[in-house]
Amino acid sequence: MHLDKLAMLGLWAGLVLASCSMKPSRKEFNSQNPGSNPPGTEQPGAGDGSGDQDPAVDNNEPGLSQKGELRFKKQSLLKADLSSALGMKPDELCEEFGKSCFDELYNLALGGVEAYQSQVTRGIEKSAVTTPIVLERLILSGCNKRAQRDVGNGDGVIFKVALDARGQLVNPDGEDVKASLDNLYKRAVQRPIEAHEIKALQGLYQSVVAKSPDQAAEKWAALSCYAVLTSLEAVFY
Amino acid sequence: MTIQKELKSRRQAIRELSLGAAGSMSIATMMGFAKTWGEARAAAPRTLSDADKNRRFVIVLTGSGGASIIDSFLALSESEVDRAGGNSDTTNCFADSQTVRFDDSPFRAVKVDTTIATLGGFPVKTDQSFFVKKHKDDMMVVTTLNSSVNHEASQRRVMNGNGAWDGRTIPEAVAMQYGKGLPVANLNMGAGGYGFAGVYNELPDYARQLSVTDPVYWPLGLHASAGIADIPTTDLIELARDVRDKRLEPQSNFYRTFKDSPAIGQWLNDRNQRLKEFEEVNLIEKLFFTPNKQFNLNPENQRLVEMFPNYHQDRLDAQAILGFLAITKGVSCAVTLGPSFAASGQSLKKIFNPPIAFDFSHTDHRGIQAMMWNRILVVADKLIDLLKQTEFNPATGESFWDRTMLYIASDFGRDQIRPSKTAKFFPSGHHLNNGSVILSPMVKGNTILGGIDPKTALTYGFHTETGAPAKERNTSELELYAGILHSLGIDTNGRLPDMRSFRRKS
Repeated sequence: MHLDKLAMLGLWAGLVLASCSMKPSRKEFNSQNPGSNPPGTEQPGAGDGSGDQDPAVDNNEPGLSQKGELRFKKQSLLKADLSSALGMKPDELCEEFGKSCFDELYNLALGGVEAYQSQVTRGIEKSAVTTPIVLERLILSGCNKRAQRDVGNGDGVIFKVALDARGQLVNPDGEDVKASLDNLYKRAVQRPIEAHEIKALQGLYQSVVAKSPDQAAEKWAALSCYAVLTSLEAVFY
Repeated sequence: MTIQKELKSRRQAIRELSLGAAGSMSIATMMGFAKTWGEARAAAPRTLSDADKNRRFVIVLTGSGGASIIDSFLALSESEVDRAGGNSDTTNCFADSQTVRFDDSPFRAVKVDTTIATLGGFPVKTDQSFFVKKHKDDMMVVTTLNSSVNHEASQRRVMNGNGAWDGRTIPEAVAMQYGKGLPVANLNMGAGGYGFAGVYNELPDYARQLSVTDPVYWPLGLHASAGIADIPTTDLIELARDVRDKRLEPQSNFYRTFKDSPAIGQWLNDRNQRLKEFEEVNLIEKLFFTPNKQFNLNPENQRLVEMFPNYHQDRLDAQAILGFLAITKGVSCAVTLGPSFAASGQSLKKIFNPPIAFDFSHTDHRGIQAMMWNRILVVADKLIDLLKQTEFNPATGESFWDRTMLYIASDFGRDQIRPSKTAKFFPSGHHLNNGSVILSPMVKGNTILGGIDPKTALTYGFHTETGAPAKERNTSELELYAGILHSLGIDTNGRLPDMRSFRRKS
């Protein structure tokens, strides 16, 4: 009995080792698949190994999905998710010319249906060329409103940051900023923020201040929210 | 930054083009629609790219519900039915005084002065002869026999020739051949089966249709930020996009796990490439036509709004404006539009669209066919006029109309019977037998392909190559589809019958 268990354990360990040795590393995968990164990007640390890698990046490579079966969130799901993330009713989040962005203006591009007027009873399965555009448009609108309400309020839904008289962050590296960004990630993609993401969004703040210093915190909050909510992780499931 | 400053003016853009600064943006894309012939000739000479020069356009105007050809251009008079041995009392034909004939054309037209009892006595007074007189030389009627009297099935088959060419629709086939490089090559505002995409698996992305239900406000969704109040400026938005695209996403576990997903690939292409192309040419300024305080309206759009004054309540008017702008502003080469099955109007005294469109003939055939045909012909007439007035290629003197086909598609025909001559109101059912109207300088004008038997009011076919009438056969959806595509110069790789009888230059 005892020997049987040992034999099974040995077999299991052997299989695990074999599968690990068969799977290419991320670096190997990338070298075999040039162009697999988005244009203009490089995997940190890829190439010469000179140590220019962002130390905040987690090197535990996730497994590459072989099937990649993803769907973009369609109208009803987006409406619920964005409304929840931004703490606003859908029509409050985005309305133009008195019309609802979700239900009227951009309904079809977001995969919705319109049975009464046009007898469109099946939504698009694959995203249309205008889907990313309308999504960015309504998220920009919602994030901008969220930032306007939160920043300077002291009791914001997402952003609770200290400001100086010019509307800039008192301490861009402060805990209030990190906590706000963590809050944003938890509401947008249901996970805590990672160190490299804090660093990237703090970098965005510096860029905003350099270009447009007045009320920079509010602009940065709107743009951080927009960047996260329009990211692939927030749009697909 | 104001929208006005943010958007390039047309003049500025054309100047940049002449200096070679606009890169791949086509001249047709930049052209204003309302350049008249005189203005065009006075303007600096311009050249079109090869792709632009060769473009052709299709407008599918849908006779949703069943536009009956015997209630329009193949109408029969009571006397000719009787002369042929038929029974004018029970055949759907018109009093001689209502049937208009022309010395210089084989087409007929009908005059109707009645009311529609089932629409609260709504008055209808129409005369189709204006259309024949004006457009006969570019007009062809093709007799048809459809394969279904189910609305949705038939509408889909009318669009794809009953699966004639691997399931691609007429607009998809046109967009494949002529739409490369256009922002939205295939714009579909059709309802029901006319709004369905085809099922051709190899259709390139640029030819996929974009469905539009609200033509007035749809252009707002063609720019991610223009017109939104009090948002960060576009250069700041670009900073955020840069952080997202280059720092947040590539390092996320989500991206690293799903980077090979086709859905992600499609999204990144549309978001990182196409979105920027859309924003550069600012399609809102080109296509948004309703007067407002947010956007810099093209002054010529005011003329369109005046021509189609009911556009806010009547979607067909709004579709016509958007369709015209999409073609002449270099956005689309295939446009589908038409009434839906939804009723619209201001009151019972001012009805634009009856419930279920042409299909309301189930309750009152004569009045509804007259009302709906008039609705279709008025829109077609205005579109043709506008396209004729709009320069396409200054080097050849062509107008947009010279390169366009307007196809009035119908689900099917209606019954050829009526209860009696004295019945003022009578209903009709669906019937496979019918005919379709095609308008274009590319087809043999002033021509009926096939004919109608006055004894039965049923249409018959023609020889596909010569066009000679052939009473023993009917025209299938496939043959109609082939004739339309071949007239538009589309190479169907020998997969479809040669319908040279359609073509003006065969």
